[in-house]
Amino acid sequence: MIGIFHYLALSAVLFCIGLYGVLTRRNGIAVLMSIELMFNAANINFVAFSYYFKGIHFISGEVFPLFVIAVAASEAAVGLAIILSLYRNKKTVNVDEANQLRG
Amino acid sequence: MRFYAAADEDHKAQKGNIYENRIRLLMSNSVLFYSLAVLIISCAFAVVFLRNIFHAGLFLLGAFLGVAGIYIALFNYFLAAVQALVYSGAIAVLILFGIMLTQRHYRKEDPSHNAFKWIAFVLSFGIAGFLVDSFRSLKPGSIFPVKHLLYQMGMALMQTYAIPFEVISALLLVALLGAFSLAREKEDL
Repeated sequence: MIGIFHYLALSAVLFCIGLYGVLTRRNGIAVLMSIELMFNAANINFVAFSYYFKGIHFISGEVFPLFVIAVAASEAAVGLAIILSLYRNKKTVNVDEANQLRG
Repeated sequence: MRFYAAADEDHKAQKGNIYENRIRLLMSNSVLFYSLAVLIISCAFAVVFLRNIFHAGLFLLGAFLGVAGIYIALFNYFLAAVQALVYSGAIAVLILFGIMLTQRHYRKEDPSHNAFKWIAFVLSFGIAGFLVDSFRSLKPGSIFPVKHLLYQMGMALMQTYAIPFEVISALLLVALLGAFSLAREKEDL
């Protein structure tokens, strides 16, 4: 029997894989991809809680992932634009070489 | 509106039950969940560990489709369709185009991960182990499938969440315009 534990465990593992990618990848686009994995983990949690627990606002868990997806789409667009202009100016996409603002 | 939903429900009563029973059968055997979980976790590991960034982007597409399958397992078909269309249709393609536009000065001998990779490995998978261990006390519990889910989601989007819905649309417009002006070639600046 699949319970809420399984969904929460899947989501936690997915989130931590994304966290590892954000902390360690040097390519900026790979960091963006890891952030998308973390968004997906959060969305799985929303839907799983809405399915397994009944509350007053039970529909919120089903609707909120739509907002998360919209924010993720705009985040991906802006992030890729920033990485493209970084690439155009410094000929690199590695986030540890983007140090113009370092004092 | 309510009459339309009720008639639609009558029409789909027998047909929907067959499909939902079939998926319930799969879920009771745990086949669907475990295969999707293995797909998602292995694709996510490939995204994080692969050196070739383009292959990582393709595995990201697989992870998105697996998450869409998880939404089907949770009986939210509309969200599964949105996930498949927006994430694997739009965001993954956007990321793949971004990869293709930025790989000209790619050097093979560069390390793909930074110097903190072992510390980050211990940290993040320690957090994962701690979280999974702390979830173990949860009882399986009962499930609460929502009746007329799509109808209720639409009503919630237009009534309870009408203002966030409009704010999100404005945010999407502003973010896309900002992305356009950021990524444009600037001649005189």
